[in-house]
Amino acid sequence: MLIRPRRILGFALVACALLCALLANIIAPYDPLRSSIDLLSPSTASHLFGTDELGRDALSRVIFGARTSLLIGFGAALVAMVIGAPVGLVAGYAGGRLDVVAVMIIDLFVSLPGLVLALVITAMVGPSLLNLTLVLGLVMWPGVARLIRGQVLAIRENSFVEAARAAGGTPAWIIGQHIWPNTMRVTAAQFSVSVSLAIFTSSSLSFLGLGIPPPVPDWGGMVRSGYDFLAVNPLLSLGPGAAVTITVLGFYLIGSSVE
Amino acid sequence: MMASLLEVRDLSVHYADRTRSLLAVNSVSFDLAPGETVALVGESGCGKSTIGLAIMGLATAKRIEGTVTLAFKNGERRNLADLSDRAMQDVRGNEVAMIFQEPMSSLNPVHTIGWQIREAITQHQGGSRASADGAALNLLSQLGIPDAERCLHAYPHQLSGGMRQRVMIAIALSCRPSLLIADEPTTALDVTVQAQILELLKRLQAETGMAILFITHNFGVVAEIAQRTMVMYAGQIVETGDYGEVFHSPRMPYTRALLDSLPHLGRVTAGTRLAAIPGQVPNPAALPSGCAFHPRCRYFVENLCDSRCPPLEQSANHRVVRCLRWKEILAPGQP
Amino acid sequence: MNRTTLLEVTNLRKWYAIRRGVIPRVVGHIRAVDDVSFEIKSREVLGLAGESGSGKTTIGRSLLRLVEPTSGQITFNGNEVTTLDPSALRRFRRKAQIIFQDPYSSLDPRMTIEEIVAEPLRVQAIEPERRRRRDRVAALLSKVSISNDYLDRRPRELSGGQRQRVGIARALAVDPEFIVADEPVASLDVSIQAQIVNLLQDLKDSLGLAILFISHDIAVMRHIADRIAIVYLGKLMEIGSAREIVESPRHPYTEALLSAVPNPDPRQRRQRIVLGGDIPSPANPPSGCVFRTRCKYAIPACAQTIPQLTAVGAGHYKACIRDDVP
Repeated sequence: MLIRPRRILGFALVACALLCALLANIIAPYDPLRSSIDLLSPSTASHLFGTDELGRDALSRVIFGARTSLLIGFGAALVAMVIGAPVGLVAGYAGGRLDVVAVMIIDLFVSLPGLVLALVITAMVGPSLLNLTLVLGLVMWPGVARLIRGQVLAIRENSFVEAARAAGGTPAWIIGQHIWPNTMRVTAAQFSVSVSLAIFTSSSLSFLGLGIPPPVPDWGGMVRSGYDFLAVNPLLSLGPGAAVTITVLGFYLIGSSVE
Repeated sequence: MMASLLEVRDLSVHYADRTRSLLAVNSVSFDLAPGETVALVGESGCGKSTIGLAIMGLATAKRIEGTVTLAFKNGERRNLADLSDRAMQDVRGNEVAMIFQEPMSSLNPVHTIGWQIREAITQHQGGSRASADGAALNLLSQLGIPDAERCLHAYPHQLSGGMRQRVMIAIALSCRPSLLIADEPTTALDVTVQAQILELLKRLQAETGMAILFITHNFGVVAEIAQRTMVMYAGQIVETGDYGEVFHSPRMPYTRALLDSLPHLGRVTAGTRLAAIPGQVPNPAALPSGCAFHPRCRYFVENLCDSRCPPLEQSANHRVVRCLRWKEILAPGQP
Repeated sequence: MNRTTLLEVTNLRKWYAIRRGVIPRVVGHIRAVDDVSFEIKSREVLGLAGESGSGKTTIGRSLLRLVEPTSGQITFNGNEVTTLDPSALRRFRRKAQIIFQDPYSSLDPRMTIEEIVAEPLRVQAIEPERRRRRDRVAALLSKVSISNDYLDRRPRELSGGQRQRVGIARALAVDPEFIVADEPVASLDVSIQAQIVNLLQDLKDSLGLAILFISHDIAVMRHIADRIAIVYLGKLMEIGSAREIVESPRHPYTEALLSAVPNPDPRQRRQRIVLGGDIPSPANPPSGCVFRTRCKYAIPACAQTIPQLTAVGAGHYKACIRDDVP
C-alpha cells in the first residue's frame, strides 16, 4: 500500500530536477559561468548558496548542473537499453547455445565492479559528455539484459506465444508483438533505475576528477571543488550533493514503485 | 439423536480490498455429525473453499461473523471463531485437520517428509524423536505407501502427485483429528490416482471414525464418497439433502440444471446437445438482486425471483432448498 | 458418411534427451511419444484420452509441428508434414489450428480482443485491409457468441468461458480444416463446460471441421467424439469407436480407466478396479508392454514383447498380447 506515496514522491523529486534542467535560464538568478570579485561569499540574500572560488553563484550552478546530470543519466540509460534489450530478448527467446553464450558474457560483465570499470575506461578515452554517456551505458547494459532475459523466460511459457507460432508467426513477429510489449512494465521501471544509477556513477566519477571538464557546471565536480572550502561555506559541496541525492532518489523511487 | 460434531451458524465472511468489499460466504448454517461425510459442492467463487478456511481460522478476511461450534475430543464444546490464534494452533491438526488441492504448496520443499510428519506429531503430542519416527513410519505404511522407510527420507519434489497427496493426508491424520476438511484434494490428480485416494479416505474414515467435510465441484466424486451433500451458489447454501435424493430429485433449479448439463458415462448423450446453463457464474462483487441464480434460471418469474432473496425452506425430512418456486416446479411423479 | 482420410500418423516418436554433467552428455531419453500410429478422417472427432505422462499433449502439438517429432510420418491431405519447408509450413498452418487449455495464458493480456483474433489473419496476410479485417473478426466473434462490444476490450474483462470462446474464434480465423483441441474445457467451471462443448459441436457441424479432442475426461469425450484413442506412457493402448471403447473396452488399461471415472449417479456405482502403484516415469518405461507393472492380467510374456495393435472388431484395435482379457 506504500506504492502510491512512493511513486508520487519520486515524481515530485524528479520534477524538481527536470524543471531545473529545462527552465534553468529562467529560474537561475545568475549566469553560472560568470565570475565576479565576490569570492567565496557565504550564504546571503542575493546568493542563497553563496559563491564559489571564482565568484560564481553556487545556486545557479547547481540549477544548471541538472542539465548535465540528466543528459548523462538519460543518455546512458538509453544506451544500456539499446544494447541490453535486444540481447536479453533474443537470448531469452532463442534459448539453446545462443542463450548460454549470452549468459556467460552477461555474467562476466556484471561481476566486474561498475565504477572501477567506468573509471578505467574514462581515464583511457578522456572525459566528455559523449564519452561518459557511452561508458556508463556500456557498464550498465548487462544488468538490463539480464533483467529482460528473465522476463522473457517467464513470458515465453504462456500459451499465447504458442498460439502465435501456431498462426505462423516468425520469432521476430512474436518478440515484437508479444514478448517485448509484455516486458514494458519492468523495462520502464528498470529504465528509471538505470537513470538513477547513471547519475550517481557519473557524479562519483566527477568527484574523482573524471567528470565533464570545467567550466560546465557539474554536480560531482562541484562537490569536489567545494570540498576544499568546507570550513568557509559548506553549501558549496552540500548544495550539489543534495541535488545528486534528490535526483537519484527520485528516479529510484519511481523505478522501484512498479511492482 | 446424536449431538453434532460441528455446528456452523450464520457464518458470513467479508473480504475487502481498497475499492470494495464483498461477501464471499453469506450466512451459512449446517451441522456435521461424528463419522459422517458431507460434500460441499459448487463452482468457482461460490465460497465453498472459504468456508473450509474459515472453520480452520485460516481465512484472510476482513470480517467473519457467526459461530463455528466444535465438539472437542475431551468433551468440551467451543466456538472456534472466538479462539485466539494461539488457541487455534492447538486445534489445527489435533481436533480439525485440512488437506488441500495442491500438496506441493502445503509441503515444505526444504524438509524431508519424515521431518514434516514428525513436526506435526511432536507439536501436538510431544514425545521423543524416536517415538515420533516410529509413529510416522506406521502412518505411512497404513496409508499403503510402498517403501515407507525410504519415503521418510525423501523430499517432496522427489515424490509423484499421488504420493504427495498421501503424505499430506498422513500429516493431517497424524494426531487423529475428529474432523477432516478436504478442499478439492483430488482435483489435480489423474483419475486412476483419484480413485486410489478416495478409497484410502474411505478406509481411513472407517478405521478412525472421523467426519469429513469434502469440498469439490465434481459430482462423481461426491457420489463416491459422501452421504449428504450441500450445494452452494454465490456464497449461499441453496440445497442440502441425502446425496442420492438430491441427485434423483433436485429441488433447486440450479442443482437440477447443473446435474442435467453433466456428461457422464451413465447415460448416452452422444449426438445430442448438452443441456448447458446459459450465462455465467456471477461476480461476487456484483450479485444479481433477489435470487442470485435468477438471470440463468429457466423458471424465473419477473418481480418475484429478482425482488426478494429466497430463504432456506424445509422441503422434506432432512432436505432444505432455497427457491421461491420449488413447490410449483417439482417434476411430476417425484417425492 | 463416406469420409476420406485427412490426417495419417505413422510411427510417431518424440523423445527428449536427458543431459547430465558439467559437459552435458546424453544419459537417457524421456519417451514422451513412442511409436504411435493412427488416422483422422475429415469431419470426424477423434478423442485422445490419457493421464499425465501419456503423451497426449505432445502428440497434439507434434501434429502441428509446434513440437518437432523425433521420427515418424504425418501426412495431411496426402502431403508429408514433417518435411515441409518454412513457407510450406506457414501455408499448412492455415489448414490446421489449435485451441489451448488455459484461457488465462492463451490470450495476450496487452492486446485487445480484436487484435487477438486478427493476429492469424495478419500473420498469414489474409485480409490486409484494416476495416474489412475488423468486420471479419466481428463475424468470427458472433459465431462464438461474443458480442461486438468486446472488440476493443482486453482479456481481463472477460470470464474464463468467454476467453475460451475468443481462443476458438482465433483458431477459426484462417478457416482451417483441422483443429487440435487440447483439453479445451478442463479449466472451466462445470456449468460453462457444457456451453463450450456444445459450441464445438455446432462449429464442427457447420464448418465441417475434423477435431483431435485431447482430454482426460472420458465422459465429455464419449459425448463429442466419433472415435476414441487411449494412450498410456507414450503408447497407444486401444482405439475404436467411442461407443465400443466405453461400452466394451478390450484393453486392461481402458477397463481400469473407465472404472476409475467416478459416476455422479449413485445408483450406477459399480465395482471399481483400483490400480496399484503410480504411473512409471517416461524416462524409464517398463520393458515390453508399458502397462504391465500395474496390469492385473500381466503374465511373464508381457515383459518380453512390445504388443502391436491388433484388430478386435471393425476399426477397433488394441495393443495387448492376451486375447482373453478383460
